[in-house]
Amino acid sequence: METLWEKKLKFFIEFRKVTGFYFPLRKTNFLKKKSVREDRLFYILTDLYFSNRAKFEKLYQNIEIWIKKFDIEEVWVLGGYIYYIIQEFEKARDYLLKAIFINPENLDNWLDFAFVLRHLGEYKMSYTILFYYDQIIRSYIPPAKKNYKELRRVILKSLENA
Amino acid sequence: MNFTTYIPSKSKFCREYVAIKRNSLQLPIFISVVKGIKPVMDDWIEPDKYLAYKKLCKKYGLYVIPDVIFEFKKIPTDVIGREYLTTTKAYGIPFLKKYTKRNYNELHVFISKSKESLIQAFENGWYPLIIKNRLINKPLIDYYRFGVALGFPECCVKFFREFNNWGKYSYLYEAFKNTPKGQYFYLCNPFTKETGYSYISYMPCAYNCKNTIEFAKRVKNCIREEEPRLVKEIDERLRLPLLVFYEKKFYAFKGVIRKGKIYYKDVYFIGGMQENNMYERDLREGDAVFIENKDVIILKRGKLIKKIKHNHKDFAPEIPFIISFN
Repeated sequence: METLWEKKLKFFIEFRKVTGFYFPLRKTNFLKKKSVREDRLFYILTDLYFSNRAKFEKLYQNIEIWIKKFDIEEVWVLGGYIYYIIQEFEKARDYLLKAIFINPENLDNWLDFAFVLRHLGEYKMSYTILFYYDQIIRSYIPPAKKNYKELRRVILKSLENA
Repeated sequence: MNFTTYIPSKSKFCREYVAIKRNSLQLPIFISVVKGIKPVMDDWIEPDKYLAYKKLCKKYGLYVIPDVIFEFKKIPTDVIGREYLTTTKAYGIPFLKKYTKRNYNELHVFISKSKESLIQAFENGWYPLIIKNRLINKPLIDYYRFGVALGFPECCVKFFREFNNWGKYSYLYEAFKNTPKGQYFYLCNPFTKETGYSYISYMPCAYNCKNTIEFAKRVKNCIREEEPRLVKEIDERLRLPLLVFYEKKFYAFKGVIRKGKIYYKDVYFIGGMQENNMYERDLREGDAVFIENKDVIILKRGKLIKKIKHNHKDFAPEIPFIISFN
């Protein structure tokens, strides 16, 4: 049985082979950390999209393969960001949602998710996350069904009186 | 001359707009959106004026989307990410009835003649705001797409992508370097954009950017149709000599440039936030200013009265320069 770290290591090696650079260190942005953002991957990918489109394309070609192989937060956010950048927001939403389910304590995952929802016309849910992210993270209980609809229902219900 | 509110005299919709807003800071942009020159704009209004504003927009064929309320108040030092706030410094609060009566609040809205353009701008148009003691910022890609949605020329959006790095560059200085010496065309002057006396609402890639000139000409023509006096007033202000420190600190002078020195009778701080207005008092005491090895020298009747030493900063670097548009 492969450990989480072995899985991550395998993915990092494959990522390096494709891109020629190391996967940027991505720590969990806990609320208590008092950090605006711990993730640099989204920024790096955006830069890559404009400065080296061929390399970005390579990532795009590999993401679905990695998604199937590695069920880890890093791969889901990588997919989420790639699809955000190329404006396939539904896919971006689904992949970032997976990252939330894996690591709901990571503020960066929630905020990126909120901005995807803004692009999908899900304004109420987007604003709810942006304005009540701390309450959402602190009181988070995984929904019975792990899909967006259910998460939305649970969150909006818990913040009815906010 | 001053940079206070312009009171429209001819155009009905301009009068109505200024009456609701109680300022003319975005009047030229508003005219260009009503006239279909600019695809979309974002604006700030007092939240309790939203319905009146919406009605006005509807009357002139514009769609409106409200975003969030900006609460302008002093930001304590313990706010997470405070140091990354560059131009707009505000708290974000939801647009709910209970928050519409507070002072210092402004509702952020987007307006356009096209629903599609409006949505594109809105979705990319989140501003960095403080929420629950933390800076909440949008993804970088949204910044670039917002520029495109607002109708900024592609060359200027590309330049923005390259040089909008407050840790590394002084953006307006980079645009200065990107312009052949002496070819500073007044239609490309972005320094008065916060005052309401400008044809452009963005920073061009160069002060002779062809796309900006084309765009500004169209804006100027449509303003002339509505408010010819405003065109005269804008043109006059766009030609004032300027002393620029960085994006949020610059001064306009009533005067002339001779051999790299500004000789002046009056000075105006037009850099936006008053907290950055550090030198108006010194400049008022003088009658000439120039730059020597990045230091700013202020003279009075030829005698030195103040030397502003160049200050190296790791964030928002200041590289002073003098410029005049013609």
